[in-house]
Amino acid sequence: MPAWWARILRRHVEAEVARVSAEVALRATAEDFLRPSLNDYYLPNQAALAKARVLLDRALTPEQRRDLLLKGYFHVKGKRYTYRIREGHSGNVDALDSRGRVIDRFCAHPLGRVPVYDVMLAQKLWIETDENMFLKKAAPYPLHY
Amino acid sequence: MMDSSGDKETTWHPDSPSEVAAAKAIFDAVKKRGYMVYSQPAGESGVALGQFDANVETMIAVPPIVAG
Repeated sequence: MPAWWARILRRHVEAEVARVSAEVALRATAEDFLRPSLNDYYLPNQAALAKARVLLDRALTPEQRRDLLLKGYFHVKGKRYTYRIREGHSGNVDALDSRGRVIDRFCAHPLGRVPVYDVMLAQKLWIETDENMFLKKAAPYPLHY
Repeated sequence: MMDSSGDKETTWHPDSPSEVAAAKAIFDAVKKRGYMVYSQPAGESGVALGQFDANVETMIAVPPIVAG
C-alpha cells in the first residue's frame, strides 16, 4: 500500500472514530437523562407535586391560575369545545357547551406515574395542540362520577 | 420532561454547539419513546414540536397519552 494512501486511510479512520465517539457520547447523555432518577424514589410526594405545580403555573394565564387556586380547575379553549380541567388523575376533563354546562366527560392521562399537576398540564397541551387526537384517544367517563 | 419526581430539566445555550447537541440527543431520545414535545411560552397556548429547535426557550416532554 502506498504511503500516501495509508495516510488518507488513517485520516479517514480517525475522523470516523471521532464521529462515532461523539455520537456514542451524545446517546449516553440522552440515556442518562432518561434513566429514572434517584429522586423518583426518595423525593417525598409533596416535593414532586410542588415541582409539577410550578411547571403548570408557569404555563397558565393569570385567570387560569386564579381559577385553579380558588376553584380547583381551569378552562382551556379548544376548537370544538371549551374544556374544564379539574384537579384529578382521571375522568377530570369536562367538555362544556356554550352555557357552561357539562356535555361530556373524558379520561386521558400521560403514561406512567406523574403528579396530578403534570397530568393537568399534559391535558391542556393535548387539547390546545390536537383536540381531535385528544377526543379520539380519551375514554368517555360517566357524568355522574 | 415529566416524570414521577415532577419533572427533570436540562438546559442549553443556543450558542454552545455541545450543549445544543446534548439537548437535541435528549429530544430525539424522548421522541423515539413516544413522548410529545411542546413549546410552552408562559401563559400562552402550547405548540407541538416535531423537530428540535435550539431557539425555543422552554420545551416540555409529555409521556404518551393513554385513556381511562
